[in-house]
Amino acid sequence: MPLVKRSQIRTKKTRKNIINKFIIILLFLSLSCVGLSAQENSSTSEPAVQEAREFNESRIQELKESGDFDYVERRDEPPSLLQRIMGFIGDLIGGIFRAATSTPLGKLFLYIALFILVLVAIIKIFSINIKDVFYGSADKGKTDFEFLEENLHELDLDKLLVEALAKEDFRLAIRLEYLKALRALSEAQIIDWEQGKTNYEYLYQLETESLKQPFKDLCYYFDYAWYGDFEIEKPIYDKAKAKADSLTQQATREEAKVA
Amino acid sequence: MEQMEDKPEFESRLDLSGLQTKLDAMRQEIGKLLVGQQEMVDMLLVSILSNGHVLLEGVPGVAKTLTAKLLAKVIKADFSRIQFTPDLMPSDVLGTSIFNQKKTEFEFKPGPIFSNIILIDEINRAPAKTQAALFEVMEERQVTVDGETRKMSEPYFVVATQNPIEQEGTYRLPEAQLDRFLFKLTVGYPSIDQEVDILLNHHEQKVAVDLGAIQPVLSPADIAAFKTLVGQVHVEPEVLKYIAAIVAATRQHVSLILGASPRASVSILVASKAFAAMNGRDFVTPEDIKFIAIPVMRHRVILTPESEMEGIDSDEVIKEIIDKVEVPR
Repeated sequence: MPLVKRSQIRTKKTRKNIINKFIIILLFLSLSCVGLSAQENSSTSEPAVQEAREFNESRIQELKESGDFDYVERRDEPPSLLQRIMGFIGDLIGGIFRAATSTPLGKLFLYIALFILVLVAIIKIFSINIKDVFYGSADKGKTDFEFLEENLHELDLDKLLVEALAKEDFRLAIRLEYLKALRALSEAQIIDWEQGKTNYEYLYQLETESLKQPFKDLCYYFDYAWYGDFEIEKPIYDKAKAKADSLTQQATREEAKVA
Repeated sequence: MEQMEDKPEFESRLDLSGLQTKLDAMRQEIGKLLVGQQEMVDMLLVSILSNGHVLLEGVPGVAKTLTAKLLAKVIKADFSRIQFTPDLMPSDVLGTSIFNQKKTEFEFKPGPIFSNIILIDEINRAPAKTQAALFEVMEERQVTVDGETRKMSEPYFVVATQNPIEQEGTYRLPEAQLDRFLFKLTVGYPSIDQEVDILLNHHEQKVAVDLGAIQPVLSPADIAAFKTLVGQVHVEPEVLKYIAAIVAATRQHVSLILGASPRASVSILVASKAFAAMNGRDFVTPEDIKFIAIPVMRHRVILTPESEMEGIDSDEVIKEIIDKVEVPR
């Protein structure tokens, strides 16, 4: 490359650098001038009037009185409506008691009232039925009617039997023979007589074998006559009576043995 | 009490021989496969004659379902089995109306409840809504769907089973539902000898082979005729009072918060008549009532919470009541 051309290129570069530096300095100076002019403007303007604000005393008082800003815990709160009502009732009762205790009659009423209160409390606590107290305790499992008008052991069966035979009411007569035999077995302590037991249950109670068949036969006649409502003639009654007599005799013998 | 040493003196006013013969044949057929459980079978027969339904309660594996199936086999009638499940809907039981596109109208498709003998297996597995669907059909023997009432054909007999042990996933039957069952029969375990016989039957593969070989012995016409006979069984007024006294006593007992209903009184009466007829008697005795009263009332009474906590059983309370009520004599 020729020497002249190299020097020309170097000159061009130097010139560019100089221009760049000039632009930077120019920018710096222009920005500095803007800042100085601003300072000059502010220093030359008049000072602002400062307004002194004051507290609004009434507003402060208002806020002080407001419950929203009261952070102190109150220990003695005012009584609620319920408490006030209870208090009123308490005062009323207290007044009555004070009035009652001031006279002998009042005292008497007071004692009666206290006694009733204690009685009610006892009844409630122990679940006592008032009816049971005054009318005797009714067995709840027991019904209010009885089929036998009287206790079996108190009935005059012989007399009733004579009357039934006189009327030729053999159905009733079989029933009475059956009841006589049942009573004899009970008195001999062969069976444990209870109103709720059926013939089958009595049969189970019989321990003596010789008693079982006559008892079964007698029950057969009784069942057909009494529950079956069959027509009963004298011959059938006689057969039933024979079974009943056999049972009664055996029961008497068993009773004598035990005695 | 009807066994006599000599020749019986009284001739029955009703001809009950046909009934007894047929029932004996039924017992025999059922006994081919069912070992023991005589009392349960007899009570099922009583309920058929009394036009009542039965709830069988027992632990799994005591032949509840087998008994019901055998009973259906010995009666010449339609049989259907419904397995109650928690997702069963009333329409699955009663039936539903389906639109027929050819005829362009709704047609009623009867459910499995439309049969003669219905076995409802595990009734307490279905929710109350499905159980309540049985109210009308069990009491009035009719089903009302879409405003139309359809009568059931006779005989109509529901046998339901339930397991008393499992509580999870079961729904207790409401009182109104329980009241519709004539009996609640508790099915117990067999004796050792009976269990040996059961094993022998299985060893000889009798159950698998012979269920289809059970012969029907009772027709719907027979059942209708026997029901008429049972209706004519004599009951003395004193015996009626005895029933009323027993039922009334359940309403006053300290261990019960709910006593038996008047429907229970009627059930005792009807079942006692059937029981007497089955025993060849044309009249009811207090023995019959004592025997019938417990299965009739055990599901209709409710024990007090105190009694339940003490472990008292409703059977015990009913027995105590029956023992206290004076027998008419």
